[in-house]
Amino acid sequence: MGGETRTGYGEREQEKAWIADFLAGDRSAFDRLVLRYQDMVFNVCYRMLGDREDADDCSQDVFVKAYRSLKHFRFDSGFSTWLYSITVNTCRNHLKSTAFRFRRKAVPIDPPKEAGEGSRVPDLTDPAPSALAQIERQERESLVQRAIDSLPHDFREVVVLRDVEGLPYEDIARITGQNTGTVKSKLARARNRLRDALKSLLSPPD
Amino acid sequence: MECSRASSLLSQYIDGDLSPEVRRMLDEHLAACERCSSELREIARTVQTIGSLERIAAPQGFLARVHTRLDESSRTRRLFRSLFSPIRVKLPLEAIGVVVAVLLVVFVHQGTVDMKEKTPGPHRTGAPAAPEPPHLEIPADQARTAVPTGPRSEDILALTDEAAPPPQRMKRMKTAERAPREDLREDASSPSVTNAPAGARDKKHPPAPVALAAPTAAAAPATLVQLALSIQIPSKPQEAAQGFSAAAPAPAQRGSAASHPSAEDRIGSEATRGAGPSGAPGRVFEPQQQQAKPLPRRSAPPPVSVTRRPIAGNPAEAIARIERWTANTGGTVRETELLQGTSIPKSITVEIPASRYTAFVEGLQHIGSLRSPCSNSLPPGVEGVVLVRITLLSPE
Repeated sequence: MGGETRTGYGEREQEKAWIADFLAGDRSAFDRLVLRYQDMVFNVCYRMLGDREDADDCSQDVFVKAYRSLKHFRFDSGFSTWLYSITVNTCRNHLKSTAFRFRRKAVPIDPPKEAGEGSRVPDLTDPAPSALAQIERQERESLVQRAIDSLPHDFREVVVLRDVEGLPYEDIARITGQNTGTVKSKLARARNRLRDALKSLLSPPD
Repeated sequence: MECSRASSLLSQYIDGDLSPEVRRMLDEHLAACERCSSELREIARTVQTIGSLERIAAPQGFLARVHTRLDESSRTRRLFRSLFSPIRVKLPLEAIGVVVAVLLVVFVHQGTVDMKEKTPGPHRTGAPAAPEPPHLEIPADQARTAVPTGPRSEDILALTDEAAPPPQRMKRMKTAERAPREDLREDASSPSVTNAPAGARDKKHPPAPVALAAPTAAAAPATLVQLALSIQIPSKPQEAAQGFSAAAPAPAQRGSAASHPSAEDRIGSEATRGAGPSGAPGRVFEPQQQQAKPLPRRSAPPPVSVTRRPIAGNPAEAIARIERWTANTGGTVRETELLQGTSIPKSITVEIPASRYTAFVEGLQHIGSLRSPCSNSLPPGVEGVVLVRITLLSPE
């Protein structure tokens, strides 16, 4: 399961301080929030949209909206949950946009063209993968992403938030604006669909 | 536990979201059901595959691009706010918009009007149109009674002068009118029919200008109802039975006997005798009136007879008054017949709008006496114009 981005208590207090500084006029405080959550936002956008450029554009929109709406944040939930909500809503808008629908295509996961430009997080499980393994991994992830892209938008949300981001059902329900039972039902159906799409990729257990 | 229920719980089973009791039941089912166990393994592998996807980091320079977008968004918002500020700019902009819209409407309308004025109409360009009726000397109040002459002209010709129809008559004959026309020709051929020279006729009583409109493609033929109306100069009661109504043909010999009375003898000062009781017709001024069969008509109006009333003045005066009355009722004088060999009018045929027929007949009673029974209304369904032939009956 993917790395969790849930913040601890200390981080949560730090975020409150940054927000307070930002509302007081310290724009650099917002920059800190961006740096902390830019990968999370970008990753969600990428898995939702299936395209790097679209994900970049969508991610920037997310932070612009967060910048405009930060004065309305009431700390009734964690800042990350609040940011997830903005991210999911922004992805929904992008998915519905005409331009996106025209550009919709099965986009494989592009390897980074330059070092440090959208570079992948190092795979801790395989610190020195061979080139062949690298290619195989890229192809595998490309197929997996295509399987995710084949899901309906609402199924895609719950799969990304649960199986990619590792969020609990309750947070997913709050982020997506649904009740917990609906989230569980959609997740079960989304997993069944993905299973059917990925049957050929599943390797027998060791 | 059934397999359907077990299958629905596998996702939550993987997430550890089942209650202990449900989990136990599912475990028992999975231990006994290979199919559900295989499905569980597949779903678990799927979840693991999704979870093992690489986390893609944001591209470099992401924060700078966010700043750039923030700055652009701020400028756009400021411009938007300034343009649509409720007071500063919005109202003037709206006012300008209204003015521009009004000007556009005016310009478009003016342009449309100018185009219409400059563009000639279809008739000027010679586009095929219905032929206009020939321009005749039509009095303004008679113009509306213009109707195709057609059979009516022929009918009149048959009654008056079979040999030499006046040039101004339009000789349009309809097949449907031929049969009645034959009857009229018979009347015309009788010696009682006036054969006054056309010149004499024309000189004394030139036919009134007749509005003879050529039937256009769009004009519907008028319904013609011809009536014979005799204005009888008060005469001896014994002639009441002779039936001088044009609708009731009188015996020919009777008419012949009185074929050539002296006009001066007949026409006297009966106007001073006073109106007698109705139903006392006088002698027919023109005997042929007795033989005149009902003029062809599509819808037969009731015959009009003459009641005893003094006529004012002499036939010429009567004709003149009838002509004036015809004009007053919106009618047109079609023809005036003269006694054969004389210039004394014997009858006049006028064209009256059907809607004015009743008023016309009532007005005639002020000129002379109408022979009874006299119906001063037309049968239902008669529309357009009617021809009324008024024969002057002389007193004894």
